[in-house]
Amino acid sequence: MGAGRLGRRLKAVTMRRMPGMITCAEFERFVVDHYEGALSEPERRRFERHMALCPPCRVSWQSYRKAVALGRGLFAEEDRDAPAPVDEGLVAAVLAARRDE
Amino acid sequence: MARAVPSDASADEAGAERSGDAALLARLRAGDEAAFAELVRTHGGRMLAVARRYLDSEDAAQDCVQEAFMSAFKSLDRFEGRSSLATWLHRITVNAALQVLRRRSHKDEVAIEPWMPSFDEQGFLEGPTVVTAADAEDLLARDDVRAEVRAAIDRLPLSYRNVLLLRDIEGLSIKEVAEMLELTENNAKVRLHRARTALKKQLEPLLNAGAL
Ligand SMILES: [Zn+2]
Repeated sequence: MGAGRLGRRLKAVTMRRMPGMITCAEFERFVVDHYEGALSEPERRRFERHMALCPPCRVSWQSYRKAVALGRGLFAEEDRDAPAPVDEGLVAAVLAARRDE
Repeated sequence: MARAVPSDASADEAGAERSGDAALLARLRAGDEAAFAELVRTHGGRMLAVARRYLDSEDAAQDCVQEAFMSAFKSLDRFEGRSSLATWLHRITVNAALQVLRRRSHKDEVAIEPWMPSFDEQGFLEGPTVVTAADAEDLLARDDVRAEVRAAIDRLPLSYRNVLLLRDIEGLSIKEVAEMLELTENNAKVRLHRARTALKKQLEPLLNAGAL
């Protein structure tokens, strides 16, 4: 734990000295725009530079993309698979509602 | 709402689907009761699956599908056949679900904050430093993963879940999502980011196994 704290402080000092370096909190604010391809070129470079030097943000970004891909993949699969047969109760309900209209 | 023909449908299948649609449509427009029953039997299952993504109870999902069929029946004359019946009904179902949600209050929504990342006093992230090498497709081959992803999405507060579903699952643009949910574009984007982040946080044991 002590080494982790020291490591973080060192990282903080090193990263702060680099020109144009952003903090993790600032990196986080770029994430959605980067995913959507909406960052300007200088912003994208700052994003990439931070990610190259910061393992937690790199992992966070990779996890973010995987989380979205998991959600997408799950529902794409559901859309492809044949759904369960429709309950005849629903068929009857829809037909009755149509007659009442 | 842009929604392509399912990616696994070849041009031939899509063509066959269209001509089947045209025949059914003609019978629906003629008021053939059997055709209405056939429409419900053919498309109701998929529509229910879609309604269940947005609504948290089976009753609400069933009511939503029923309402979706009613509004589809009313606009049969306006259906131009530019998309398949399946795509058209899918869209109507999403709209019906959102309408149900709009009528509800969101007062007892769960908070999203506990899933947001924490930064130390210097603005540095504290979080996992390992990510699984497995890609989404490999992970989704596992039943437990599919169940966990589904549960994690269902746990999202509704107003966040909707944004995620509309953008990431339905493929709407952020601008379209904002219009549908009557949000500003920036607000929609913030919600989208938080929804994805909350999903990621919940899936940490799966994505970042052996980390922390
Ligand atoms: Zn960082």
